[in-house]
Amino acid sequence: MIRRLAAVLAIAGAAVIAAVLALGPSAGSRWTDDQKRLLRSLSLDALPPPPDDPSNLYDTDPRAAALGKRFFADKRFSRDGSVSCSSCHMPRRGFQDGKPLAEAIGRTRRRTMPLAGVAQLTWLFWDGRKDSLWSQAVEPLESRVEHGGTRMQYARVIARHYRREYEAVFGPLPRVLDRRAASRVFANLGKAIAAFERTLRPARTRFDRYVAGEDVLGDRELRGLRLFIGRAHCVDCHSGPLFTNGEFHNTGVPPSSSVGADRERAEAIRKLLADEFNCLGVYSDAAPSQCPERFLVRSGARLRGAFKPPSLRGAARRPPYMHAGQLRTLDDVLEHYNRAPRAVVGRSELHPLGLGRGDLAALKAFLSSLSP
Amino acid sequence: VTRLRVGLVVAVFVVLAGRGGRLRQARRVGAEGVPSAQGLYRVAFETDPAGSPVNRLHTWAFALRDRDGDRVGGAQVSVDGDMPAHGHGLPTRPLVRDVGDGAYVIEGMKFQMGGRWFVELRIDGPDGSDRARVDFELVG
Repeated sequence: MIRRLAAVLAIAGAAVIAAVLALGPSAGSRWTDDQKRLLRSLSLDALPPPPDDPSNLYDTDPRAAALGKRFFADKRFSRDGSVSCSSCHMPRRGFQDGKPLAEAIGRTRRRTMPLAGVAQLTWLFWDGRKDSLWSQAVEPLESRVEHGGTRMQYARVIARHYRREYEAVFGPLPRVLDRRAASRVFANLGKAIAAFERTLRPARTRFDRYVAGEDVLGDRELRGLRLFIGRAHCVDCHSGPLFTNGEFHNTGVPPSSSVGADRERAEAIRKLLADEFNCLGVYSDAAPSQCPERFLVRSGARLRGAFKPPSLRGAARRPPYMHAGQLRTLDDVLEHYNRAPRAVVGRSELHPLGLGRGDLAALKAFLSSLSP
Repeated sequence: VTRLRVGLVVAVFVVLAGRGGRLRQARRVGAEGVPSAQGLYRVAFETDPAGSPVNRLHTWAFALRDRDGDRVGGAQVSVDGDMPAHGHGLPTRPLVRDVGDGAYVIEGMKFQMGGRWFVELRIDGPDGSDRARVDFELVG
């Protein structure tokens, strides 16, 4: 009798453990509670609304967003009428261009970044030299290899073609367009574009449906997911619903042969602090205590060769990869992380993973489930 | 009856062992006070370092005591941290504010990933300069 009771208890104990382990998004896979929590944190359902940008009073104004959408596609905001934001951030291609280096009036030093969910990020550009979406948006407009025009030219375009819509959001245009007045209009041009970009959300993917309880991932994809959050350490940096922590890491990606050795984040920080359009500047609507510069790491060897991990949502469909498009295919990327070569600039945070062919194929399959 | 007891103990042990990770996380780190390297101070964390959110700005609070257990106000404290396995350090430069009566807050704390971390406080107070370090694991 006692032996039977003990056996029943042991079976009951085992059943409790099995229930704890087997309650996963899919009946076919077994996840621990911590793993389930981690999976939920990666899901689009965990994505909060973008935080308000204190440096942009207009970022949640739908009229500003509607105006920004028109600015985004208007080629008059370029030196010769040939380039708009959407020339490189192509809406039909996930707001990127598929090229190793962006090409506009000239060729840039960087791969075009996609924009879905971008308003969630504190630091913009691959090296984080901008602290707001509006400040990011104005830089290419005056870059001689991108839009190539001037703030005075753009203020005149707005006065001539957008006066009514602009004044409805930002108030009267200045009567005299001196450099300071033009700079104010130029900043507002960026703030309208930022309000539009704030509305761009990532699309729901099979991964999100899986986490919500649908049995839509195959065995190979699930094996890849398990590696992604485990032995492959991808989730260390590619975390949260956007699959990026938005911070800066040196992963030893070799410099691009066409761009050369990469500039350092220390230089990006110098630019950020000297930027007239930063959160602390006269065109910002924020109090200094609201600015991320307050806690900014300004120097140190740890900044060398560090770049922002991009979102992995949709990444499988947008080769080439890395900040200067150095790696042509997803296989090349996985191989890089598996080998973990020494960094040319600074020190890589990577360690060799020792994954086999089957593991890499599984990771690739999982990454494909992150596209709509 | 003995076998029943043994069975119960084994069942409870097996269930707890299966959830050991949770139990380890639940234990507070540094609540009883972390002694500084030379023993000049003790830092009692009111915020559990191991319960910190990942990838979100947040604030820590701690009380500073001297070797007699008395609270120490007016100390200059700076903060740094690192992940030994990665070597990238904290993504922010946190700021320490003295809120009176030996109580301090650390604003701008952020950990950009889960894993093993340490945070070190450099304390410059009336009893001299010293460092206090707390090690902990964050679940990403």
